[in-house]
Amino acid sequence: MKYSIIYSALACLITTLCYSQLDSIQKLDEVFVVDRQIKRFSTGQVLQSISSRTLQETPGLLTDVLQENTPIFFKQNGYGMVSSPSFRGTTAQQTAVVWNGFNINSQFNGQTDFNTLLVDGFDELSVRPGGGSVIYGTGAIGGSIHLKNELRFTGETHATLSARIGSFSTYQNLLKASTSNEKWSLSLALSRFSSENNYDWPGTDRQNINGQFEHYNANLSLSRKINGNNRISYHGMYFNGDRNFSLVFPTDPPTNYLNEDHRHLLEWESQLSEVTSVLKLAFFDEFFQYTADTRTPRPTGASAQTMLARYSLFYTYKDFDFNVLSEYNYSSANGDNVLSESRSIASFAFLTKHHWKKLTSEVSFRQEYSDVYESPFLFSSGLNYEISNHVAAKVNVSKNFRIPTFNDLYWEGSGRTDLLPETSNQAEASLIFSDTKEKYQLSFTGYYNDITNLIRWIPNTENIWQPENVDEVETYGLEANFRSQLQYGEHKLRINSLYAYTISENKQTGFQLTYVPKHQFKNNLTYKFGRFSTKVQNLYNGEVFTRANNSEGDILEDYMLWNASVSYLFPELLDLKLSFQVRNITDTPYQTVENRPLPGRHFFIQTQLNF
Amino acid sequence: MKQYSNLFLLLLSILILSCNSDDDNNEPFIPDGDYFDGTLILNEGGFSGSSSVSFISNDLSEVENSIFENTNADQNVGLFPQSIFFDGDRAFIISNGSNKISVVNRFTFELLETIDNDLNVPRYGTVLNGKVYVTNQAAFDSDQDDFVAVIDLETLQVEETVLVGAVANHIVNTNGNVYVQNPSLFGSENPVNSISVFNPSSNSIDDVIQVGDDLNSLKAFNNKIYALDDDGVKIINTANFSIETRINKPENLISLNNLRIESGQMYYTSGTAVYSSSLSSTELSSEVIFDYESEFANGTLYGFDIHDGQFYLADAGDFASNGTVFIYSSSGDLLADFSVGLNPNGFYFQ
Repeated sequence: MKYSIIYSALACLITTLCYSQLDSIQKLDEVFVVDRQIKRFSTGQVLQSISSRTLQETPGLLTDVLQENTPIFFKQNGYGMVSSPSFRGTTAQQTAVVWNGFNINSQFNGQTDFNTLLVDGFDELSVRPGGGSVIYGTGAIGGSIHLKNELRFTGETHATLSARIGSFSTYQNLLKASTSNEKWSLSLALSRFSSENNYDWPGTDRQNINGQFEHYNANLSLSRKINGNNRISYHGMYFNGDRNFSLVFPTDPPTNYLNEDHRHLLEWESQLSEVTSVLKLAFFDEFFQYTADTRTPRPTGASAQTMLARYSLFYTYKDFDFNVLSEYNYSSANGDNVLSESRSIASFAFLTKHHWKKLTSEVSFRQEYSDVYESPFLFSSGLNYEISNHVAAKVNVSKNFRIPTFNDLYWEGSGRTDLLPETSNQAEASLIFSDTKEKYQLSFTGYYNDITNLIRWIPNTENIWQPENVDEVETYGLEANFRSQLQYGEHKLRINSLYAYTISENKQTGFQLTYVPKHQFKNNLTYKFGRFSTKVQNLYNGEVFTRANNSEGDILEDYMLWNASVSYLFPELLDLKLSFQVRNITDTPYQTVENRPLPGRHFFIQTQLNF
Repeated sequence: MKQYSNLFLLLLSILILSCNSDDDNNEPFIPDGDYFDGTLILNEGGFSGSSSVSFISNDLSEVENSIFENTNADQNVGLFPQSIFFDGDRAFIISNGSNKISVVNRFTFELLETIDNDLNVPRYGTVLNGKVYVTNQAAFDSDQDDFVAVIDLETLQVEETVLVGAVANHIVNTNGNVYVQNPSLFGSENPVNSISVFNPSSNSIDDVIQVGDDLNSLKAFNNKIYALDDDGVKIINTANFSIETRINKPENLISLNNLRIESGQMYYTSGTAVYSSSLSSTELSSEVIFDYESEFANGTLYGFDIHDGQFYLADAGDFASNGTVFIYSSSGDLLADFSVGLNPNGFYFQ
């Protein structure tokens, strides 16, 4: 981490020296998104998109972006440490992270550590609450997070260079560039994020010890139009993370965690009149190494490789949209505690959508076949109905699942191959109010989710911890979203507000699941006047239980956080955008995991250039 | 049984202390503090702390949780406290996740000192002739780095660390020597279970006694060592370090745990059932005294002890809820139950 200061200083210098000619005017035609299903087959569900601008303005970890803009609650073992989501009151394995259409949750534990993804290099992030297993497979129960790369053939060249420096020796740099002509398109992003992360624990005389991290991320997308009907594209991502884990007590052994993931996707798209045929081949590699005591290092680790082949046919006939999808997935893993095993899954899905006047309906099915466990028949069915110009209604019901992971199946001495997938039956309904000019949008969503066969590790009769399908959970709740964009002359105001009420009960005990706040409330307000802009953000998380028996003495108290930033654009100074950000303005002590305090008031300065 | 006078309790505690073979301090003392007439429960907590010590009064009328935190503001016993041992009016609380031993006044629970140097995953301790001997497991995937830390009782400094050459877990002393339980390394392909004889005058391992698979309990009683393994109970002669008696178990008893000795009886558990056999028996009895039914789905007996004819059981439940302590009479009747901290793993009687 010693190069980080020089590196960041250099990046700052470069951003201030470079210049740009124009405000980047993004042409929206001819944008190729790899995930073709999300926009087309989300009937009955409310999608939320987070722009690349928002991604670049927040700290680049996926946790930061999502906890400020969505109702997902994150458990973090200290800032930047292991981060597990709870989406609509579900468990960490029940949120799918989808990279360009492919589920990238870990083969080992079935979840994504949301602090091991740097997102500032992606072009868009979409959040799709509710079931999505028919398209995205395992884990899409609470919802799915979609990381997307886009490619354009507009002939334009863009570049963004950004550098952030902040409290606790935090440095963040991003280089993002894209270029294209009529036949080729290239897009590249490189980002780096590091921090000493030695923040004071607010309200105590202690400091965060052993919390340093240094992450690198690279995205590369390349596409070539062979002729008018055929296109070949490659997308790749690489992540390298080096983290120490914060200590609970100063005498705990200092630990370290390295992870390196790379993912590659090759696709061939062919268009034949009404039919689009897409063949995708993907290869994913995940690797981690954990050192329990860095003073006497004895690292242990594991790696997993996944090979995927997916063939999709999209067909539009009159008012119908069809999609037939077949996929073969071969995964293998080896490591210190996991038996060297492999797993094959074949899946078939059929998606169909129909438009009739103001009614859009969708019915989709998926069946997987695995060589290890039985897979349930999955379905999703949705309706969108425009009640009037100002009111729309959406309804969706689906059956989703989460398959046993490599740890569950093959952990040395404990894994069991007789496990069943977790299954979820869910329903949701939304009402969306908007004005004709789309200055305002207000939506309400109610959902119900019945999840059975939850896998939990418990000691067996011989006191060996083993996974078992033991739990049943029922979640239900309400989400309200308000969005508004107002403009009076030079003054622009944007408001995003959300409220989430979440009940997540263990059906056997009736207790709320641990670390699921019943109430969340988040507001983002952006005000722009000419070159000046400011953003004020607050987020409220209700109290959470830390014990499964909901004991009153064992809770994390509710908290309200405030963040604010001001930016100024200097067109005369080579279009430099200078931002200053304060986070946790009120220096509020808070935790999202017991005994894991998060930072108090801290600051960032960011320089950004688009050219 | 419900009400004791304080004097009776005082006498009782002196009696117990003088009977306790783990403890060679026979001097009577007058306890002063809130926590002398009852039982300490160690709650090992989880990966983010939440460890604590609970106290149940001998009249079984109430429980006080988090007595260490209540007495010592902004202090904590550390991650995964494993065990407590005593020296007179001092209690030593060993935290294996935070590599420290909190030394507190046994009856007020006031923190006196912390030993946090030269320890590496400390597990259990025993006091002999002015020294403390503490087992340290070091790396979990190695049985060659485990050691005994020799600590001076006055200075509380680690004077020497002695490699055991095998996994070091429970430690007891009797007849002038210290005995270290060597269970096999978890996941080992060639499991070897043994007991190391540690000579405190030379600080070296003098002898190694091979025992059966799954050695899980080690007790010093009446100048002998009692070891519980897959075969049953083995009684070790502490003069020549040989197995002098084998009390085998019947076939139908499996996964025996928690050997305790009181009033001429051996007690042990299997699953949630409690059994006993006379010290003079030739085969372990498979007759259940009582089988406690966990209120939790998949509840687990995580701590067990017997004291003054009463059984103390700690149920960790789902390992994410507050644990429960059940106290049963000698005939297996439930006397009381209490909600304690997260993952209770042991009882210590004042």
